[in-house]
Amino acid sequence: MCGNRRQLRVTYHCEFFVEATVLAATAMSSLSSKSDQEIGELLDEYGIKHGPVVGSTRPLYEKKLREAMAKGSKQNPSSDKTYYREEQEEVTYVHYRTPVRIKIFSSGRRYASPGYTRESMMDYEIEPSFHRTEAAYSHVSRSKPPPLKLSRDGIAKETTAAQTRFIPLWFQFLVFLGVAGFLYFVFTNMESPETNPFAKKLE
Amino acid sequence: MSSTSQKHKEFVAEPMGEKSVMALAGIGEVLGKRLEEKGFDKAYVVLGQFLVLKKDEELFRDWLKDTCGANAKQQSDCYSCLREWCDSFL
Repeated sequence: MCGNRRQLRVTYHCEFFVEATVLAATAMSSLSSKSDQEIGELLDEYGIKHGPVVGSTRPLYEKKLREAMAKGSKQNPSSDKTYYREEQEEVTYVHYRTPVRIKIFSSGRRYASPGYTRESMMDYEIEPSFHRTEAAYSHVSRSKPPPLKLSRDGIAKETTAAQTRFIPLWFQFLVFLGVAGFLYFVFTNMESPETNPFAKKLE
Repeated sequence: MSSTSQKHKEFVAEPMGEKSVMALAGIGEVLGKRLEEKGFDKAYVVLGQFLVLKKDEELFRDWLKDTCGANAKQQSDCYSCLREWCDSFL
């Protein structure tokens, strides 16, 4: 199921790239037919510093635009592309997420356990993608955490995320208690100055 | 010792008036002819282009290269010549 999603993403990627190059080609050929104002706007779009587009400056700006289109047209839509991909991921994510969520919430505290299994056949089917989306989500969340999801699944996400941290956390607690206990022991020893603490320790 | 040429010093010392385009630093006979063919027959017309390009170095140098095929040094000389002239007289 996840494989299909990945394929879909690749298809989108390819389609968009082809579209982008076609658009760039048509844009370049029609540059000379654009008005001076449109040329100026295009220059702004590409972030090219420029003065007024007049008769003597137009050929220079057209040339600059062509260079920018050849080099930058891949960049501009590609940046949209990544945005689009993320958007797409989000959309599909919500799709898969919501039914699972409702089911799990209704059943009780099942989401705390790492298994999720044995709930029902439906759940199990969605589960592998859920795992995958979990990874994808954690990946996406680093760059752009969607507020929509957090509101709904925030609690679950916290517990599931915290779940991965519980194991080392116990360790930390134990170590902390150990160190605290040791320090307390040392402190109580120091409270009796009559006897030589060194001698006591040596004994 | 400044690195500007004699031509540069002469050009920036006074208003350009009707000086030919070849009076500009960096613009010799060959480049001057090419500019004249394109309609830039006087120094002040090149000045006009320089101003329309908002005195931007990169734009002006690109334009000069495209219009008359000036190399990097010639572009640089012409730009600094006009720039200094503008600082004094514009």
